[in-house]
Amino acid sequence: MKQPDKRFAQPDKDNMRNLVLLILYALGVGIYFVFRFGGNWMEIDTARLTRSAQGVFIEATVAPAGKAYDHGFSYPVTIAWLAHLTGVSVLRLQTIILPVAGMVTLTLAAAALFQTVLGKSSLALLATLLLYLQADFLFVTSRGSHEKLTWPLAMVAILLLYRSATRPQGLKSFAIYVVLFYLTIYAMISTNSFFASTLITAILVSFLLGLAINKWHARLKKRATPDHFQRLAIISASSMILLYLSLFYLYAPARNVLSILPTMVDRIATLLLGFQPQANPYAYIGWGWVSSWVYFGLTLLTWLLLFGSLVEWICQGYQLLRGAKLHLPEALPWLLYAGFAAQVGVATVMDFAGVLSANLQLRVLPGLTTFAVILAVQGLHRLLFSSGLGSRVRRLLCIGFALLIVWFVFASLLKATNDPVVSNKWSFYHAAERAALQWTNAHLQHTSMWVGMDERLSTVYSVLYSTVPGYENIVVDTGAPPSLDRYFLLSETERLRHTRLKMTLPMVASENQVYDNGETQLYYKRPQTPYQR
Amino acid sequence: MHIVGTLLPIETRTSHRGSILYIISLILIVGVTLTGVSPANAQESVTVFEVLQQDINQDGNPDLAIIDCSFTTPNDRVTVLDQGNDMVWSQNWKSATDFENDIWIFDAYADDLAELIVVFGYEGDGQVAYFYDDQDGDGHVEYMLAGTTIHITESNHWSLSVETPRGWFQPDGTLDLNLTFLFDGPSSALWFWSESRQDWLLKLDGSPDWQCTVADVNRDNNPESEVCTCLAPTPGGNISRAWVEVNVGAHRPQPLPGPIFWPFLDSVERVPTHNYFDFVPGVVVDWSQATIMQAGVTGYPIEAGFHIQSWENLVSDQVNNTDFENPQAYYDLANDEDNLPELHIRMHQLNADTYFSFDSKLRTPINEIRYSWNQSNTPNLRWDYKIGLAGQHSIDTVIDVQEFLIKSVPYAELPTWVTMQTWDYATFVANEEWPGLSAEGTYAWAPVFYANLYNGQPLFENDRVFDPEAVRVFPLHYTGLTDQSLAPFFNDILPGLRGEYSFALNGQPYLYYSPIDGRLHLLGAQKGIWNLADGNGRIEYDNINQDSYIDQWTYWLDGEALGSLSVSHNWLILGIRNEVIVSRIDVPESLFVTLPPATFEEWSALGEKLQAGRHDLDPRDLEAMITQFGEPVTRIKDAVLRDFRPTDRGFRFVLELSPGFQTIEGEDRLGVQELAPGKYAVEYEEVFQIQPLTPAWPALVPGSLRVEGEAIALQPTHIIAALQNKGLEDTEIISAYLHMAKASSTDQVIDETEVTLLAGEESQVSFIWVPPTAGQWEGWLAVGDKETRQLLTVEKLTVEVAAAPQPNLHWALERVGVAKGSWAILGLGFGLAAIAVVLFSLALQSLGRKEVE
Repeated sequence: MKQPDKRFAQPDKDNMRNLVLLILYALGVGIYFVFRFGGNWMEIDTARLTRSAQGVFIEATVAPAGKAYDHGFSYPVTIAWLAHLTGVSVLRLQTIILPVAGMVTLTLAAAALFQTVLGKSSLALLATLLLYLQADFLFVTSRGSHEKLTWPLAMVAILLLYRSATRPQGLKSFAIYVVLFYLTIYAMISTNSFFASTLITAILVSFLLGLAINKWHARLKKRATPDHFQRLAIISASSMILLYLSLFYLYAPARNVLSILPTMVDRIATLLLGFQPQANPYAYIGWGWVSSWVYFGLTLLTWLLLFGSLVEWICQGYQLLRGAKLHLPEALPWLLYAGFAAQVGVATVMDFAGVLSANLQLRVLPGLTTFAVILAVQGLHRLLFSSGLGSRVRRLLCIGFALLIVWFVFASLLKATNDPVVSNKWSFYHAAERAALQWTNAHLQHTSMWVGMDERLSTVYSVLYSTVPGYENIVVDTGAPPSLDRYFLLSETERLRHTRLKMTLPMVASENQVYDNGETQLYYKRPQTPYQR
Repeated sequence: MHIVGTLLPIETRTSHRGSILYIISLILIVGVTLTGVSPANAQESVTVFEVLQQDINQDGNPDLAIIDCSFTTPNDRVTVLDQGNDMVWSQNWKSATDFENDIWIFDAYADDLAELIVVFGYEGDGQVAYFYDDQDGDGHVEYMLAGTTIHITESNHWSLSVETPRGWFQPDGTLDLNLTFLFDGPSSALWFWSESRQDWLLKLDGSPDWQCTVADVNRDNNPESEVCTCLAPTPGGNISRAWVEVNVGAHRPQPLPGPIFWPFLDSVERVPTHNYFDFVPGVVVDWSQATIMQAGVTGYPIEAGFHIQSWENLVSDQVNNTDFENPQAYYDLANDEDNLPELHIRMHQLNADTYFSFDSKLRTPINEIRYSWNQSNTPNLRWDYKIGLAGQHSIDTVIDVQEFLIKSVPYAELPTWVTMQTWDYATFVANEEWPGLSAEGTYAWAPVFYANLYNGQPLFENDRVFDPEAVRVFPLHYTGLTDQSLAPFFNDILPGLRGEYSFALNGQPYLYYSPIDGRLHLLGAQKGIWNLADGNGRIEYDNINQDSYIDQWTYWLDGEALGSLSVSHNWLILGIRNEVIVSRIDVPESLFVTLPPATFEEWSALGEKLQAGRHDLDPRDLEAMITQFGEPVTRIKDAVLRDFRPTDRGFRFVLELSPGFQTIEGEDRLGVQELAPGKYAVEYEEVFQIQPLTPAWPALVPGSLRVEGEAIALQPTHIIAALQNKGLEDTEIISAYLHMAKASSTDQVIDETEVTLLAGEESQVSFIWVPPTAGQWEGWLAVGDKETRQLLTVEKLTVEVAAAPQPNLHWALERVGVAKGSWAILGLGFGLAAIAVVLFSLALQSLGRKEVE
């Protein structure tokens, strides 16, 4: 492994220019995310954390009754704090301001990590750009989810770990890095204990892999090799203790996550012993996008990244097997890549077992992506500047990559926003739909209302009115229209979406229309019994 | 539990000094027994063999008394440990021990294993007894005795405490029944919580979980009430959190039947089945399990009083919106003071704005009434009649129990309140032959909740709801969340019971007495069933003209209708076996109409009327219901009657005359004498008209098949049609099928609906069709079953289906997001692409430069 280029640690004009351009790009992406739908967007996790932050804001507690976020309190508390500080509503912060502002934080964290790890600002620039072109990473960090904090914190934690392992350094700076590292790890745990556990697990896997490589080296050289990796074991053990303390002593709602363990075990056992998938995590591709080809087009970068990084990982691994030295911190990306990749593998199994909404691999993927871009950029550098590549071929490759980047920009924006041009899983809503929801909240009581095939509008309703007295008096239903619903909210948007998916609309033609704002209508089923009047 | 004492050599001796005191005490005790509840009874159930005492600390006074006795087995032992240095030498346990500061260790079987430990002490001015029973299931209470110190190792905390504000006894020697029972941890005495719920929510942690307070305000040994409230935190949901029992009839409790030393302690095997307030409140122990089984006011139900079991807890200084069983009230309707109620009223109360099901809240309150009474005053808990009612009344009256303000209908007003209200729907159950008894009235045919159809069957079987679909649907129906009909759930009842229902009562629950069958019926009943006992079949009651009275009785045995009697326009028409009997009567539809009895006078009056009109007709003997009037009858032999139904101005039926038929009794009122054997339609409108029967002939009313509104692909569309029956015979329930097909494709059945076509009448049918694609479609109708469908339409229905609008690019750019912001969005996208390319170029440029360097 190469040592980082020390000269590059000194910022120069180019670096500053590149950073400004990166931030400009990130801000542009954030602005696009917000204003593609005029700020009228919502999805499940954003709604959940918005409700939680609203609860923290109103009840002035980290665990508001019935609204506490199970996995951690930091994100809702941060939002509530910002709302107090700025006077801006939680909803506006979540849907308009933070998607833009969060991009700057992410850019700084990612650029700092990549520059430290890759050693060259040009490579760091490339890696950060690739990170922003990866649509899934863009989506999870743009929406109103804790991941806006979680992944920058993970990057900072790895950066501190990297710095703390850099040699030589004084005890004082080492101590500072160590203290800051554990503070960051705790911040991550308090933001989301599950995601923190994936990083801790990745460090643990890194330790085991490092140990295995060292043993291999010892066998090759027929003598004992100094074991540098014990520190990773200590770090993972200490972090586990922090996680345990947080789960069992500091934040009681987080223990709820343990309740899914028996189900998880049962489901995985069913999957492994019965060879019968309990869920198909890829079924979504079939209906979630206008076509499978479009989906693959939009995710082309992801596949290239995964493939490219895997090739690079194998190349570096081959060098290690042949005796190349494995040193901390330089080996961290290679080791952590393996740690996250292993978890993506396990998550895939769990997804087929139907655990946690069958989208576990999507949750772990951003962690892998962070290290995949590092390895991919190293691989790209190796490819473009290998001595065997002629300048003409290199130029053509560069042009080709530039064209691909243009496509990746549009693909990432289209996919991250679930743009209706390509997606069938819509996360936007129309202002008229919001007006109709406002009317129902003001006029309906103690009833149930169907609002669409999925959570698109029910999440909007929940964040708009969960703090309004009487919110719980209306049950907002979604999915196939059940017989218990008395009201049906049908908008032009929902009609078009049903048509796109060839789904049958509820039968409302002969029911009583009680509200109409041109775009959205509310129907009330005709009473069939005296008690339905 | 740690009580500190001194460990010293033990000196044991017996005392004879207490004998005089013993005699004096006995005289006193016998004296006060005559005036009230007294501790004297405590001696009767315990045989004391010997009292041994020990002076453990060698101060000259005894510290320990060992009482060899029999309180549950022939050979038991009680060890009493003095904690107040006031034990005296005596062979009389009462002189030697006290219930003030001693510790009582009860050892059934005298096997040196304790089954119960009671620590007596003072609490302020009052006295308290702390109970330790088995907690680990080994049937014993573990403890260690070292000198005068006892360490109760079974648990760190008592499981029950009993407190009295002044003392166990009043100055006159009678018991003070103002007692407070505190429960900590799971307890068999909290029987209204399941074991799993107790294990989940109750912990023996030194913090009491339930409190029951018995009040005898005027200290006349006649407690007025007991109030129990849950002190433990509970999650949301329907959990009992408060119990109230009120002794309205001022029933005087007797001493516990087998008190064990302390007058409030007894064995479970000695306490017989009893009503609440039959015995003084106490602590009842199962010695074989070393477990406290009951504590406080025990027994169920009461002759005159009520109890409330509420999901809402009771809070002082506020009006409590008590719900669930609010109340279950019992009345001595017969004024006979036989300790058995003759009227039971249970109101299942849900308040408005409280959670109900499927996360939804109630718009209005719901009251379900079970109003059962024992008209024959049998000496048991048999209920002759029950009215079940569903209503949506707010309860605004407030009663005061132990200074808790509770929203509830006052006990004295409740019967009249029930009978005078307007109710949405009602069920009526008459116990004709069922031998079962119940402390909570007749369960069968509950109108809203827990609709277990069979009285006496458990609501839950093996932890599964007996009839989950009924339990689910009934409340949903009543709250308008489903239009699923309730009628199918009322198609059976426990053998021996007769039930009727009216889903459109909208009034008071009147009953009427039918002169036809001589029984009480629900006025306005729509249908009823009598499930005859001993497998004798069943009688079905119908109200076919939908007025207020039952007008058709059908006797079924083994799935076959053996006879059917119909009443219409003063005619009684009976088809039975191979005969048709017709008779004209002139009797009213009811002999009397009454509300359920709410007072002794009403109960007595109803009893007299029932006795006066009593027929004792065999319910299966439909012919006797005609002949009882002594009017002339027309009897046609070898004839079958079917399909009787009312018409606008009379009634009609089908008469099947077999070869050789003849009128064998009475005049030929139907005019069949000259007819040939065959099938005939008989119609009555002032006079009988008879004509040969033509078969049912379903047909489409020309031009009636049409699409309602515009047909758009993927959007449900109504297609309606009018069908008619051109024959003289009614159809059975038949299916009508809608076929739709696009040109050059095979047709498919789109929808089917069931319909009954009455002779000569029209009926509209409606179908839902979701056109899968746009274009021209053709449709037609058929009726019949799946095998034999009869085409109804000659000309086909042609439908032009419009295409559904699609979400296209223009819409995605122009209608989604900021109005007219599509160019800005596109521009931003291209701008970002440009920056990305620049960044990429800069990175490559820099890398290239470095490579060169």
